[in-house]
Amino acid sequence: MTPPARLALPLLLLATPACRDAGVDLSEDVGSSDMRVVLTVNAGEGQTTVRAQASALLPNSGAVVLSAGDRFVLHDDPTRVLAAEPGGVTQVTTTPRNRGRIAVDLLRTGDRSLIDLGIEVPPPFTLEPVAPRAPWSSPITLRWDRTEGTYTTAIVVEGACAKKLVRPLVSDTGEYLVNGGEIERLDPRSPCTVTVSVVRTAPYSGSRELYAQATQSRSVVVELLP
Amino acid sequence: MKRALVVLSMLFLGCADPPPDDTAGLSTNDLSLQILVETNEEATTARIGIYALGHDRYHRLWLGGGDRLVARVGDRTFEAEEVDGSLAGYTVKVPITDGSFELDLLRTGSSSARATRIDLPPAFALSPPAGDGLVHLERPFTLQWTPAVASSSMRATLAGPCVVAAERTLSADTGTFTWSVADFGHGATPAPCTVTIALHRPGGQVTLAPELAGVQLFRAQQVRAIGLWATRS
Repeated sequence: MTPPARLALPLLLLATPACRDAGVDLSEDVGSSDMRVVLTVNAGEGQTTVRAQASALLPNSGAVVLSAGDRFVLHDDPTRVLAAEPGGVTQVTTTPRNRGRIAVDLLRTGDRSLIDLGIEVPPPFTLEPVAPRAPWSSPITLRWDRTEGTYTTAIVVEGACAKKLVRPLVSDTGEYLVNGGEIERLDPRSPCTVTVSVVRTAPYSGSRELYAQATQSRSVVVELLP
Repeated sequence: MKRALVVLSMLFLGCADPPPDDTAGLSTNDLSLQILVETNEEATTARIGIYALGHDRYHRLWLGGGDRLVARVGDRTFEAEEVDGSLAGYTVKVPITDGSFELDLLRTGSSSARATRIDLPPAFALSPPAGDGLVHLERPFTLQWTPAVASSSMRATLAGPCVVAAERTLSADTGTFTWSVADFGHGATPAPCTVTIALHRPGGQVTLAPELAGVQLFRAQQVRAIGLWATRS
């Protein structure tokens, strides 16, 4: 090795840890007993999106990138492997099932696999259709089949032309009127198409190795006229 | 050594300029105002604080040396009165619900600052929901008001011992607002009770008399409130 190369190698070794993101580990470097899975299940009309992310329960650690063949699969359908979303940390898949318990397995090659990490999704419901176009000054009346239970319900309004509005409801009454004036539109003179959703959220479920949240939501699309 | 430090500390403390207690001896262009204005269906009330430039902005001044603060509408004047409490402040009630009024700081030892103009937000009239002042908390109810001013924001509030207080912001004024059943949480006492619903329209503006240093804070709002007897069957 030439003298400059002899100098470069230690410098490179010194620089590498500093360049690496301190909050991200490779799964092959984290034991299963130090691993926690964050599971998010969003059930919709005919499809449920399942997102899972591993994290390390170690000081100065956070997200874990799956490596060395470690992978998430749906517990009741192991052929459905979760794939990395952009960014590479969160893994995602969909399933047509939108009720009951939805769980994932974290299959590991170098350590104990974490099996059947799941959460019960809130019960499905039907949101009545609304007029596709409505004067902005009229409230949008949402009606759905209400439920008892420990779920929380929220109304969410979003669209490219409006600021997102999230309205947690004190109780699930099966009806809510969204006032047009509450929707902050970016250009009040133009029509604005918004997606209005009723989102029912199950209580957080967790243990040392799992943090899980699940929602059941239904949406309608409304064009608000100036 | 210790004695020297004590003497030095005392010297520094002695150098600190204590804030004045009142306006006497201060130049008018060293004074600034805080003006909070609320208008209901009967009158406008302004709460005014006076501050000295260069001092703690939380330190308010009393009027001193015969200085007076007066609100004026046309040729009618209304004397500001001290607000009870430890924090210096003044309040004046003006019998207008729309338009504007003026504030005069009349001084004996320095130049007076006349005609600080306060324009109120546009007035409106709130109609109670149908039902002779009775609302059922198992049904939505709608408020309407006129005139609607599309460009102004509004705030709707609901309060009462048998409901959980709620507040909604309307980014634009559509002239109508519907409270839903899901907004009526159970309060500390069971229904029936009187529920106060109110609408707030912020806005307005202040044009300061040139003799004054500035405005610390200005806020104005039109408020209309209705008390409704609310039941749950």
